[in-house]
Amino acid sequence: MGPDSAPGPAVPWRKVLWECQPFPDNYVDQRFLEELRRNEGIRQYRYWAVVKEAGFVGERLSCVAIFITIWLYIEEGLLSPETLLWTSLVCALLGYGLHQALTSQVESGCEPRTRLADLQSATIFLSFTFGFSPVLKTLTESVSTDTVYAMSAFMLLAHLVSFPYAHPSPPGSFSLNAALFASVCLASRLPGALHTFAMLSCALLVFALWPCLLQRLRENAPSQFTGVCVGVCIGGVGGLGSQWPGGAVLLALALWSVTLLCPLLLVKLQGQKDNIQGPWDEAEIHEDLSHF
Amino acid sequence: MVLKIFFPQCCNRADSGLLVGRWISSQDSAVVLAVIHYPFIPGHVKQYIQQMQAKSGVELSVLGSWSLPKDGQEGMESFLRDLSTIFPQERWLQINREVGKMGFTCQVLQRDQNGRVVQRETKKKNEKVDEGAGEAGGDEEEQEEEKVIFVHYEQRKVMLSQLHPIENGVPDPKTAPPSELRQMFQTVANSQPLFFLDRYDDGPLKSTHWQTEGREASIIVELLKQALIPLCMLIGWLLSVWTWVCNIRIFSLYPLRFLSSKLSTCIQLSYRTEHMRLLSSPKPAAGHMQFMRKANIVVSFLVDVALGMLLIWWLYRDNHITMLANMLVPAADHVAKELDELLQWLMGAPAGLKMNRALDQVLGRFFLYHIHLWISYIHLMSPFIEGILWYGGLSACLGLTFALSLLSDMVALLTFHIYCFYVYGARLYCLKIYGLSSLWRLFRGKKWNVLRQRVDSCSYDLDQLFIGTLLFTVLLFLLPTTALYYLVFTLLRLVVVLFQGVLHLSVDFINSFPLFAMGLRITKPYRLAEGVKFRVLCEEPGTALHLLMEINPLKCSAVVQTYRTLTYSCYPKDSWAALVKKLFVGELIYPWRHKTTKTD
Amino acid sequence: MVSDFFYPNMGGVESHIYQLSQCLIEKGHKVVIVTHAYGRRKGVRHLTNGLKVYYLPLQVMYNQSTATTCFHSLPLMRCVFVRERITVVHAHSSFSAMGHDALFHAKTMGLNTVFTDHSLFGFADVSSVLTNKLLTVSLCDTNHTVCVSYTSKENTVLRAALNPEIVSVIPNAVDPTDFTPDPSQRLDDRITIVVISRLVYRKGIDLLGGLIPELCLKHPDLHFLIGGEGPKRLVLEEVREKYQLHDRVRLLGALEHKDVRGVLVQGHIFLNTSLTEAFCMAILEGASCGLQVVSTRVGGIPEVLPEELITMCEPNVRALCAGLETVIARQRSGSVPSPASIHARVQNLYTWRNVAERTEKVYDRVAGEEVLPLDRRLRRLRAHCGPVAGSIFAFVAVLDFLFLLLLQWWVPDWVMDVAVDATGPHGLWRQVPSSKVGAHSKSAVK
Repeated sequence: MGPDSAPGPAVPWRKVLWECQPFPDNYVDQRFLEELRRNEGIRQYRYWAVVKEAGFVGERLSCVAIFITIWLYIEEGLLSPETLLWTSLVCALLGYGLHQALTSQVESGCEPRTRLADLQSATIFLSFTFGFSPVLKTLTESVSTDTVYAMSAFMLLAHLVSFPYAHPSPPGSFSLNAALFASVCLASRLPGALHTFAMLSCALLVFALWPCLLQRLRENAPSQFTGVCVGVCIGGVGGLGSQWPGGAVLLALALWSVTLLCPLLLVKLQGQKDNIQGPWDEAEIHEDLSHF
Repeated sequence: MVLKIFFPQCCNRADSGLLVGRWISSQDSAVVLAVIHYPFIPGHVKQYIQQMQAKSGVELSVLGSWSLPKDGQEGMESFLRDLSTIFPQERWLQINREVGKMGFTCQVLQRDQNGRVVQRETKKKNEKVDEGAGEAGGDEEEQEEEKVIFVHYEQRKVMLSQLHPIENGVPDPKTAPPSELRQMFQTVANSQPLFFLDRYDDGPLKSTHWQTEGREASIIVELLKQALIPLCMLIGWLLSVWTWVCNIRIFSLYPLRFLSSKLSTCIQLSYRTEHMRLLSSPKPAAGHMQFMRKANIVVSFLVDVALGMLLIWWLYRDNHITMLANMLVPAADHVAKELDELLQWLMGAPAGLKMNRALDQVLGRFFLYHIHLWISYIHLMSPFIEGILWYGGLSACLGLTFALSLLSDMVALLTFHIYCFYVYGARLYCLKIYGLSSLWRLFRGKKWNVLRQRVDSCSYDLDQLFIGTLLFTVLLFLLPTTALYYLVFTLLRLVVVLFQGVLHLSVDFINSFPLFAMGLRITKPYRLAEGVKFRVLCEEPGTALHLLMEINPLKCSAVVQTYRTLTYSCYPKDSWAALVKKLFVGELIYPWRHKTTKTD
Repeated sequence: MVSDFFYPNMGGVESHIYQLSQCLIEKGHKVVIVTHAYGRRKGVRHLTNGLKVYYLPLQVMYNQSTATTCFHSLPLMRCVFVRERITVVHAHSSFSAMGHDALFHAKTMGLNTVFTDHSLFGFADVSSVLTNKLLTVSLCDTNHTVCVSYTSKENTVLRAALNPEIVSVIPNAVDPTDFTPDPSQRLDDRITIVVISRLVYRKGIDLLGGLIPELCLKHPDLHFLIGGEGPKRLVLEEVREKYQLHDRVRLLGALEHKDVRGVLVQGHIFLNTSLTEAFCMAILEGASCGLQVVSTRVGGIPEVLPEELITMCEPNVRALCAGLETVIARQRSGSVPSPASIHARVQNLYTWRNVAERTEKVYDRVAGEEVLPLDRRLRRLRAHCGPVAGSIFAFVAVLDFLFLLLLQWWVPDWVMDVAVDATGPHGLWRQVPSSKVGAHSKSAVK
């Protein structure tokens, strides 16, 4: 009792408080800190697995690049809105079919959307976009082009940053909204109402529907998923390169650093980790309690 | 213990006799009200005191004796002491004044249980008295021997003055007993009947106290009072007719009632009716406050009418009315033209701002059409304006306030187009702000939970998100245009509101300013007392301490605060921050007077 | 005793300071408590037995903790220390900025210091790295540190890089007379589980929200009684709404300390779901009221109660459910000890008197130590806290010292009035004649 009293008899010290033990209060047993553990449960990353995961980020980056490429083409007049619309329609139908096929494969139990609901959503998209496109076209008329570009760039960046890469299936509302806002801004600079309409439909495809399809692919066919990611990346670089070679180089650099360099750094720095754990740590809740 | 004796100044040189007054036992002090001189028959004195007690409701008693020795009056001492057996009292004061000396000496005779008289020589000590401490004085309670302090007061002033409660009073006025000073003031004020005994009357008793000198003037006052009764009745009858007219069914129909609640003239009329009803009530004013209130209303009404007459005299002298009427239409035209130009400017690129051209054009055309309508309306009205002004000017004979209220209403009518613009702009802006704020929540993936009054996270469907973002973008880019229109029209509206506010404030000032109380405060400061201050009269080592009590008049700000007539301006107002917030969110603002009625 | 947390705020630290002070006063020490002003409660107040409390007018920044600039509190603190002739400064709780300030100023003024740590911290994230650094600086020249459990000691030693020899373990205590069992308050037709804690993440309210529906579905006679308030109340309300358990899960809201016993005695089982806990007073109170205690195995909880009085589970829903199931089964079969026997077992484990005795020994030891002069203090700061933080705080210490010199020149110590002792050897508080004025003629500021 009390610090520095006479050393007690040879009763083994116990780490309990309810007993009056014959040891001073500041007694330090040899079992002191024996429960200290270092770097417990540390994950050893394998390089290529990390690269594969990071590939998804690169894929998003390339998607944005592809969208910008399409916009550049339309603005330059190299791509007519009709062509874009038809292509989008075909892509959408193909994607829808693929999506259905992948869904039926797993037979996921939770409330499957009916075809009717899908059709309804599509009608709403198309009618609203079509109805609003004349309004949208005049929307940013008086705003300077630089402002619009800056706003779009900022919003696309926000989309990339806030994109829920872990669970992309319902795209996070903020990231989707930011992307849509950016595409409305960009679309409103196009020359005609039909251009705007086509651009917005395309944006819907790229930002809203494509991530859903990709997630399905990731769940059900991981090997194809990697292929698709690589394909999208190549497509993004190539597409941008056809219009703006400097941008393509930048994109390639970004893709390289995101998919190859950052994982390498992560794996290398993992060895430096020194984490102390012990009974004082706040327990973590591993279960997903959100369903309660 | 310190014994305080409040002594009237007029009795300083009174002949020897009996002191009549009241013991304020809880505070250990005595108020001397009068001195009854020799010779008297004790029975008469007792009877007289009982009579007075019944009349005034004050517990009067014989406090002791007063002696001012003159030549040939010797052996008074023992006689006066014997008097104490005739008028049995717990304590008997024996106050002596010697000729040629300033101070009094005082002896207090205590009567113990056996009825024996115990004399206690009072020690006269010099003591420090805090002059500022108006109602203090009991601090020296530990000292054994009883000391006496004489507080001299002017009986007339104390009788007439009204002691006001101290604003920052810590004790609760309801629970705490009235202070010594307040009791003393009440005692003096209530024992007015005692003072009607004239010095020159031939009665069984002769006494010294304050006496009124102007009996004759009071007769005139009485006559006037009698004459006012039929006048009051006449006003009362007129009022009943007026109320009957007002209560006719047609006036309580919705549009008329709504209109009358918005017109400041009608509101002023109702105030005046209320005032008149109060004045013409046959009951006399109960209590000081109500009397003051009535007097204030009468004075401010008279001043108001006088100012109104002055206005009429000016208006109708050199045909100013016609001049005004001829000026008014061009002025309104001019305002409309200026507005027209303003709108044209807004429809271009005002101040280099980037507006949405389409929306800008739509709004501009809409408002231009409005102005066009307005100009034709003014021109339609122009032949009648002079007549309206002429008859309207007559209303000034009811008082300046009526004229001002009418002016305010006319301004409101003449700037109706500005009001309309403002309302359209504000509604549009409000809608946009509201839409933007809820869509911004959608943009972030949140929603407003009405039940819990907070923002919850929510997962939206794809189509909801898409349409929401589309609308958000549209509203965001259109916001500057709407905001500009709103800003310009709000500024215009604020100018009008400011002008009307000034008018209302001046009307309110005339209505509520306590002119009578202010006049009383200036001419007779002692009538409205806030407290008292003490001045040391003489402090000789041999005598008791003599203090002169003077009345502290009420501060002018306190006068206004206490006696102002209650009007709408006394109701709580919006703070400036709330006003700015309202402006920012696009809620409608109104001139100050309409606040209470229009918020709902 | 210096801490940001004191009455009218309620919690473990507050009651610790109060009870310890009372016991020290009983032992004849002079105790003065220094805290910040709470609303209109400012200035000097006297509590039971002449316990003097200074409510200093310092600005509250966050969570009842004062803002600190390391300097602005020096004049006030110095005034208190000089007026009360303090010899030992005892700061409480590592969340209290005021406590750290007081330690710092006390060292500048040459007083001995003691610190009591009431909480546990991790090492993993950025905020704990920063707080741990600050704690290292603050405890660098503190004479002695007190922790409430062995786990807390290990944690503090690691966090502040201390020599374990100057860290004592003195547990908290519970006044057993406040928490007596009363089985008649229980309803026999049901089994009631009582939870009393602030409804925050660290108390594992999410776990509670997870296990409520699972257990309620299995046992139709199970009721929950939950006392406390906090941001996680929403979780419980949502669970209650979703599973329609309004009649079986009662949320009592914030409880006053005096009402806690009335709630505890209504239950059969006390449940604690904390995710981290240095020393859990709640389970002690629950056991003292004769309840079966079920708790998570975190922090210092395993040290608090002997195994026969507590059922410990891993901090996840399944383990907690299993633990509760066994206790419920035992309760049903009647094979649990009676509340009175549990109370009898618990009541002598922890007493405030014992705590005060042990704290007194710490004071005795500390009072004899020398206070480092400025140059050695600076060297120690540099050596102990690393080159960057050490240099910065050495600089701050120099500034603080200069500021103190300025103050001493401005108002010299001998000019200051010495306060009248309410407690201690020459205490004038004589409502209860103090029987024992021992040889301890020192006064302690906690």
